[in-house]
Amino acid sequence: MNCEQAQLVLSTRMDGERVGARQAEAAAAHAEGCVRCQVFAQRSARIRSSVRIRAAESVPDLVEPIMVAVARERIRPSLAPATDRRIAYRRPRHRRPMTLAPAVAAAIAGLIVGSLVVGGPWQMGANRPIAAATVVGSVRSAAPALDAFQGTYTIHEFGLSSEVPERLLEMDVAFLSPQRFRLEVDDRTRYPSSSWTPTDLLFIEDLTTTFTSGPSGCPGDLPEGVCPRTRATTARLSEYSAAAPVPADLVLPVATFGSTRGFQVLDRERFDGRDAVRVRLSFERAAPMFPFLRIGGTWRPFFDRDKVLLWLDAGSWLPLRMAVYPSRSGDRREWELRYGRAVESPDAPILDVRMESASEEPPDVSLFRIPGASAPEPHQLDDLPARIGYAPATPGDAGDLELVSIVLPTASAPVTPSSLLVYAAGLDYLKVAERRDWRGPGPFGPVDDIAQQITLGEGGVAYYEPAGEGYGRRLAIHTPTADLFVETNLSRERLLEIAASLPVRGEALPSSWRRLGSPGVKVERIGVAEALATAGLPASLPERLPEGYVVASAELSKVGTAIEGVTLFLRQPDTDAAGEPLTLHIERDTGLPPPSSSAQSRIRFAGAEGRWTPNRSQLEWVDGGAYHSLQGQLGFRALLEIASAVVGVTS
Amino acid sequence: MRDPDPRTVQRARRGDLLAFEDLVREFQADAFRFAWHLTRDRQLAEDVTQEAFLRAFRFLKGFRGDRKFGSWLFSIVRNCAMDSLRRQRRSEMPWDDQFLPRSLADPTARAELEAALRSVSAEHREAFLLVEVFGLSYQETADVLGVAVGTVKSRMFRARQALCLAIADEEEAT
Repeated sequence: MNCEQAQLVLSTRMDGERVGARQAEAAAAHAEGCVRCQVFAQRSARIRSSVRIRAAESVPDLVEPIMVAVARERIRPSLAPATDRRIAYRRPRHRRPMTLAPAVAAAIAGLIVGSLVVGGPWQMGANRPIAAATVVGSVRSAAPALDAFQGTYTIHEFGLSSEVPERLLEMDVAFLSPQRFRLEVDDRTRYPSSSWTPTDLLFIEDLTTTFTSGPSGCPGDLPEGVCPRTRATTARLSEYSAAAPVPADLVLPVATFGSTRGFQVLDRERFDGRDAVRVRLSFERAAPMFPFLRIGGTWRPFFDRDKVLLWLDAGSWLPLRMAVYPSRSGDRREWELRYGRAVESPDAPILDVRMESASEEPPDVSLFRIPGASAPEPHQLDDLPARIGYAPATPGDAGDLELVSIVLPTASAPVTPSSLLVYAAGLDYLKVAERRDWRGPGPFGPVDDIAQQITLGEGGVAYYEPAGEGYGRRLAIHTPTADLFVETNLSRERLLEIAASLPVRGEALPSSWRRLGSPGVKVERIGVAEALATAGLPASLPERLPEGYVVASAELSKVGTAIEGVTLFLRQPDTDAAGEPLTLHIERDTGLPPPSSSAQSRIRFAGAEGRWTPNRSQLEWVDGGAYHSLQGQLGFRALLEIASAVVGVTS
Repeated sequence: MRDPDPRTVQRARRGDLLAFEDLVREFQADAFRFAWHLTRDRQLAEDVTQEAFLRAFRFLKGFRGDRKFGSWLFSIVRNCAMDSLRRQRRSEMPWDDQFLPRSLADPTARAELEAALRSVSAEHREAFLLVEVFGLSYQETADVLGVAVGTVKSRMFRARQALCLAIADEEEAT
């Protein structure tokens, strides 16, 4: 064996790779008497120790950006075929228990929920952090695969009044694709007197028709004159609704987790025998998960920034428990004082909603029958031109979504569409409403004047609004012949893709629709770049805004000929729940107007003089000779932070 | 490099984002270091790492487990790094004085090694990096580089020879 061969063997052995015994022996024997090979072995060992003994390198944490990209990827239907998503669920063998004692029900809840997950429960590392994007992406991708759901819940409410410190209510929730929901609340509380009306509620949504029944809210301990007693059940029936299905987030929190911002993933832990992901968010952010509070009856009040702890099943992403705790903030104390409420401990829950059982067994269709509603007339797309005089625009790329209903509303309210197409896949939905004789002003449908103007596909214009106030993400499209309104619980990107596939090309709203006003006051919608220039703000202003915020739209206002102001509307692009919409109003060459509220305090920050009006959540200041007003329910500190970023940039 | 729990990989293949996030947490440091060694540019290495995990997520269904997850991921990191270098019209792996971390305990040893490594060809350096720095086996290295095990064996030997020679020159010079 020569040096070359011996060193090859030495090198290979150094790396722990297998070498034939004969070769190894021969190499060792050669090296023993060969200085060159000994030096080779020594230097190789030195190189190894130099390379391996090294201080820790600084490695960036890329989990969040990676998971954001992955979660986005996951929502593209072409990459996640329906069959693959559906195997995440399995029909349980048993129907849900209807009359179980709470303890028994709680004990089996884990088993039933567990059966929704293929592969059964697995143990997770409790202390491993979880990216917000993983929660968002997982919830989002579970939505189209969920075709049926039945769940029972208990609701414990504390602190309604001194007479009724604790209430117990039971709730049944059912969902059947396409877009049929039922929520029933049965109040089990023993009230101190008959003056109290139990909060028994029934809500049914069958595609676009909704039915609500329940007592009007009035606590029994309020004087008769303040709140007239009513035992009568008020029932409401609407033939057409463009809004998001009310109880959807109780089934799966798609709207709540429509953005990666505004919530914190705490940890993983075992809950009721299940692997759960624990999330913390504000009451306002979690509002879609408490639909029963909005349907009717009497409920205790909640502070927007109260803390909500949420346990999500780590396999099915169903909410297992939601507990609301009073916020620790000083603003909470002020709120308690303002509403004359007792001081509440931040350590005890004031509302505790627990899932007792759940199954994917399809509920009986009769559960969704709406009392007093006539069966909708079935329509075919092909028949519509003869019936309504036009063929409604249909998206060319609806992905997995299927057309499940065509509604031709008969009541002619001012903003009712003349046709409405509903597309669905599991819990996912998309509504395309169309109207041929819309005269404005403003975009058609529940889309505000301050919606963000965006460009679709090949240059078409649309007006976009993030999810919020009971609606999903919305888009209004104006064309010379028709006005369209599109609403969905899909992501912003997906909505824009689908909208771009509609056979219409949107135009900017007519200039006459963009101008509003009364004698002496004129308000005109203008472009964001133009607004920044007019206000003397740098084009880089959006970069100084808090994370996620964009300048969605802007208005120019003129009072007489003297005062000219610019208002910028700042919003989160996915959902308003991720951060309150803000308005920043700027008037050049203007000082602070006279005080307009008794509860105003003077402040000085970053060299600017200003004042804070808590009941309007308004921060005003003068800087660079210009008057600034920043308004939005973010709290003083957050507003001050934004204001400090703006101070000094007005030219 | 430790291989992940096969159940985690299985769950991630079924589209479980929590499981995929576990894989990201476990491998992001190694993936980033490898990307950094290939690009010598921190920002580029971050981009490459992100892109590599995104591609891994896309292709995970096709990962059959016939090779180790780590080497499969490293081959994706390598492809991403090559793509981004190509986009920057840099055909070869860049080279500067930072092959090893500046914080290496012995500055003399570091300088010596830096100089030595500079004398090694890119393909030998790559094999050396995977085996010596990342602790991959020859088979795993072969999987990453898409070459035969014998090729890795000979590249490691050639790399060591060149390094030993370079160190000898340094010793003589001092």
